Amino acid sequence: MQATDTQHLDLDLNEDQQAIADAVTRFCETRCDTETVKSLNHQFSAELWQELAAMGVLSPATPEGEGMGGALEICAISEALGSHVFPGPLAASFLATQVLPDNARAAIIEGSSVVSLSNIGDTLLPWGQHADIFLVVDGNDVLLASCDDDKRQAVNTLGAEPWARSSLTFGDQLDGAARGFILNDIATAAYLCAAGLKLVKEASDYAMVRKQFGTALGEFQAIAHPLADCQINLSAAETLARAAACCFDEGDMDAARNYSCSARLSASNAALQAAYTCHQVFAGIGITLEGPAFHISRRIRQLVSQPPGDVQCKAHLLQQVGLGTRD
Amino acid sequence: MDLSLSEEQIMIQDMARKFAREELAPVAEQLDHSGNEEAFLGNLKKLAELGCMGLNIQSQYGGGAAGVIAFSLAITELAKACASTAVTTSVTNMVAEVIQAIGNEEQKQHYLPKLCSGEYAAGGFGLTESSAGSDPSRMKTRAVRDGDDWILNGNKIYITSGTYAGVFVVWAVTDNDAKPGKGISCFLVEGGTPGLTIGKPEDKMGQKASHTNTLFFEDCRIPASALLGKENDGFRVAVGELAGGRIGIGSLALGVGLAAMDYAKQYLTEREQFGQKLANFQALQFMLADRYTELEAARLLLMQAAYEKEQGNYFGTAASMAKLFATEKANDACYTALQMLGGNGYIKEYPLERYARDVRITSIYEGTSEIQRVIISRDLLRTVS
Repeated sequence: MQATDTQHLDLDLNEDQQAIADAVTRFCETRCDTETVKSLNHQFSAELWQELAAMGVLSPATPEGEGMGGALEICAISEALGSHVFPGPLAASFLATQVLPDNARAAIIEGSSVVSLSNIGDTLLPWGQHADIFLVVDGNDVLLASCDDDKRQAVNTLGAEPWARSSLTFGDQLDGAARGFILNDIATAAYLCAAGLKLVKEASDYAMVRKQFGTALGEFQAIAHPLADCQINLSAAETLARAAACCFDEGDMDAARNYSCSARLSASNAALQAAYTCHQVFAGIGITLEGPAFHISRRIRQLVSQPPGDVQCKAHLLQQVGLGTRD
Repeated sequence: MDLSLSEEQIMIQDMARKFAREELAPVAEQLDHSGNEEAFLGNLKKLAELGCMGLNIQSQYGGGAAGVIAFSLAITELAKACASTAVTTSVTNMVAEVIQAIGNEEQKQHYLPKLCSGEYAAGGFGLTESSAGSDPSRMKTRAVRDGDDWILNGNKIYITSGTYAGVFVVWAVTDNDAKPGKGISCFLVEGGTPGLTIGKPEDKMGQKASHTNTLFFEDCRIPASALLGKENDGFRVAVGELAGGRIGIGSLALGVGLAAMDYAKQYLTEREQFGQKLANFQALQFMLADRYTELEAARLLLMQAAYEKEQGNYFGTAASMAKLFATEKANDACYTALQMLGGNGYIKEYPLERYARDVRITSIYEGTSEIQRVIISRDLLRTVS
């Protein structure tokens, strides 16, 4: 793997990017706060999705998205949505905008089309109950596919998202897959990191007020240090995602791919670690559905499990060091 | 320590395994999904008839007198199929053991046969409070003597089987002036006692068929004869019985972990990717090897703790080590197994997502992992000094 000189990377959000993040945050606070997320039970709300899309948040790095920037804007948007656990096929939509032809892409950007991204040979379709565009990952390629509505069956999941099962009919191989994979991984990583950081913040706040043995939980090193480890690992993964975004925006696609794979893998591990650690801090209250942790931890589990998954990223990184067996 | 199992222990393990496969496994997914209370309670009754609700209770009280190792083996087998049933069985055994350990003859004669026979669907262990979880010595529930009665006031949270327990062992402060942990007594409170209200079952992440409730005591009057053990000596009892309960929860976690890995192992031999069986990939082989090694080590720690308890030796540290190790490794195993199944691990058509949800609480209830580390390290440092 070729190291990238990060001295030229400015990983902070600029004013415009921060403004986008703030707008998304305000949207979430007014339209999709924690109680709404819990009451939605991770189901898909077409109304909310279209309201979100109307802000232009699915348009960065596309011809239609003039003024909405590129991958760093996607980072900013994904972080804002992740910290509010907003439901929907976010990362797959960013991938779709890179590979679909003009009218289909426009429908994704305005939120009127919902995309399902699955692996070839797999009949499980994330968000498949609501999807009308089906994309299939075949190694380093993306295929357009069609789904017979009559054969589509609802599938219940751990996180309660509306997955489906159906066989697909494969169509054209689409251009732009490499860019799409990078943005998919950046968005997934940024969302996971933000959700994990939100969970760590909630757990830390709780540890400061919850007393046992006459002492706040946060005063115990055995509680505080694991939370610190989570914060560090999530922040590191978040930095990788932003580095990938910077490289993408500067046109260095090789470095962007390396960073985006590293970001996704690091974010998956860090977010799962945060979910485990924070549940442990919240103890019994974290196990209940009305509590502060479960709606975030199961979203983390969903994103980690979501196709194309970590396998593709691992295969890419192994190739960079001369190992691995896949193309 | 003889690591081989006795004929009786093998018989109980086989019996539990058979029951789990034939009765629990077919309904476990349905219980998780819909909470079919009739089927759940029916299985508890059958388990009682098989002797599983009083495995370590003397035979004159209706128990199986089979010992702690047999108890651990049975809970593991039950948990392979249904963690909700296993935890209810484990807690009911623990309640029975408290009564056997410190109850007077009248209390033993009255309550133990009802718990062991299934006349009571379950027993409840009323210790945890909202401000006294890991540190139960700071509990706020009070019991005040009033003539020939005690009057209880306060709340207990996260009480397993609150909805259908026939009797609860409840701890309350009886000496307001005593230091934390010193003025606490233990009482027997029957379900349906006026002044005891059972809150709605919590909507939980896992082990959903097992009800977990808040108990509200509002001027709940119980007779003086409901005092279990000596007045103001209850906290010592609670700590001792929790250690026994930890063997149960560790055994339960082991069962869930093994079920997850067994399922994933089978899947790897059937599922093909990149033109070959998943089982041919060394990364997955090594994951299997690591997880099974850890679960086997957990089993041995549990057997050791159970053996020490059975011998009448101090077993608190051994139980904490076993509980800590077994529950954390079982969590690892469930997540590894889920990951091995990919998308299929995430959907409800396969049992892996249920295992992952069910196992999560095991490193939290019956003393969190952090509390086990406190107990273990305190014991280690005491030994050094």
